[in-house]
Amino acid sequence: MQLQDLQSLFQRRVLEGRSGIEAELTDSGGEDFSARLSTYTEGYRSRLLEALETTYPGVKAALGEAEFERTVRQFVEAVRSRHYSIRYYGEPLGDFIRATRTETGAEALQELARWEWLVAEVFDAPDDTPIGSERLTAIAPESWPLVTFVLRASVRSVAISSNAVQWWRWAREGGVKPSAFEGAPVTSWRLWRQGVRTMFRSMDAAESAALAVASTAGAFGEMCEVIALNVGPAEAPLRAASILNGWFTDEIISDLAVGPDETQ
Amino acid sequence: MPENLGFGLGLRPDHYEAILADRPRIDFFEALTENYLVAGGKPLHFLDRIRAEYPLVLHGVSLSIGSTEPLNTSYLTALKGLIRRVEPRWVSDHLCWTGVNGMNLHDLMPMPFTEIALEHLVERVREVQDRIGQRILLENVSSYVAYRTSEMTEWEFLAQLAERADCLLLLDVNNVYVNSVNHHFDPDEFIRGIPPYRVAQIHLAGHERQDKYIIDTHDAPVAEPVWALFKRTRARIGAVATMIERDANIPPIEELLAELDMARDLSGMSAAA
Repeated sequence: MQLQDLQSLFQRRVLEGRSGIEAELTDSGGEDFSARLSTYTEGYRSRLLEALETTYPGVKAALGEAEFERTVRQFVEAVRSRHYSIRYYGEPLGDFIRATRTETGAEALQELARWEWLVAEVFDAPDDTPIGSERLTAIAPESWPLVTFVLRASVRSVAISSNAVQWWRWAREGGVKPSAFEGAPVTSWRLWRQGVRTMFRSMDAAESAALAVASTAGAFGEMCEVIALNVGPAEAPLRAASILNGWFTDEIISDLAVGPDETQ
Repeated sequence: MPENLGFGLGLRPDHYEAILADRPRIDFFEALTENYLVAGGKPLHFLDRIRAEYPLVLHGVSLSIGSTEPLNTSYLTALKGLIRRVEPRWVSDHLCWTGVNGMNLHDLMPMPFTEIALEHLVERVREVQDRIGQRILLENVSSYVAYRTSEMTEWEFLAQLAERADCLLLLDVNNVYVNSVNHHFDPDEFIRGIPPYRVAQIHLAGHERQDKYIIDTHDAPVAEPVWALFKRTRARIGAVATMIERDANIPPIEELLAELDMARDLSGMSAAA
């Protein structure tokens, strides 16, 4: 048998339980053979379960250990690992939960999983350096509408329409356990890293819209327009200044430019 | 041959703070490559800080050197980036395959010990060494099944691979012992079959004894028969960088330091030296 066929056969035994590799192995009639083989078949599943326990501690706490394991084992059979690092396995877990669970609260579990995946992304996102608000002083008043901001690589935003974040904080910090998974008014959140600390903050509609503009290299003038749509033209300038001040305080800006080419 | 770095430990996140606070007497750390193939954040932050204080080597699990899939170029590119960043004294991985058909089993799957597998490995080891610009160390893995098609012993296979690919070996003494029980051979014959001048590093770890076989778990102290085999290995191979791996049930670092002192004692190196 070709080496390639041998490896495919062994892998199919691990992934799908399909027989065939036994004929290529010694002692396959031995009394402990199936136990030996299970170090590979069960080991594969145990390692992925352990990886998802690390990525999704909130989902695990919310579902309980036994139900989490049952869910993840189903997921492992449905979704193969294709990355060289086990760290990147499991992003679709939330969608899988949503698609396979029918009870009330499945949407909230999906959002909790999405949240935890973003937390993991923020944790090891690229290192970059925040700029300080002193960079703003060099901008001429007439140039302000053209200013664009570069968000730091760790910045993520997500809209949550359940009490998923409450569940996550309970799993992480303890306190009062939420009584159920339930819907809630939509709240936008941004997550980012300051140093090695993962941070998160809720955003109102104006900031959320402004962040969406900034994340696609939209200019400050465009940000002011979307802010005005949310708070009205009279309040927009003050609100824009407040949002920008918050971004610099939270260190989520890594660069700015005036116009398409000119970097300050 | 790389230098003898002395007595080291596997670098684990549980110990980051204690290492930086107490600067324990450890000669080098071995970092798990994949834990640091990330863009930034806490893992690389601590790796950089510990690298500034201690010699470092990298130990991977995803090279999949024995796979019949093409070498994973994105993995090799990321590995080269990490090598540039931390300048490890050397880079090691395992003599195994981890997946085919685009999938990853995240396990150290055993190779058949055949001439065809050997030729396949020699070519790939040379390619990896060319790509990263240095010789690599390959570790003998624990296994629980063996192939009918094997044409030589594991140690003959390892020795031939090292010679023909001009690579180095990371001799895991625990894995030698585990396989000697699982596959019914004399572990000393294994040790005698390995060319000492190819061994650049030794691993020690704990295992879990089943009724008739052993599972390589890395979740317990080094077992007595492994210490005994280590002593005989050191007598044959000489002074080689030696380290203890613990991947689960990770104790306070002091417990691992005590095990490291045991390794020093058995090597004729006093802990107080």
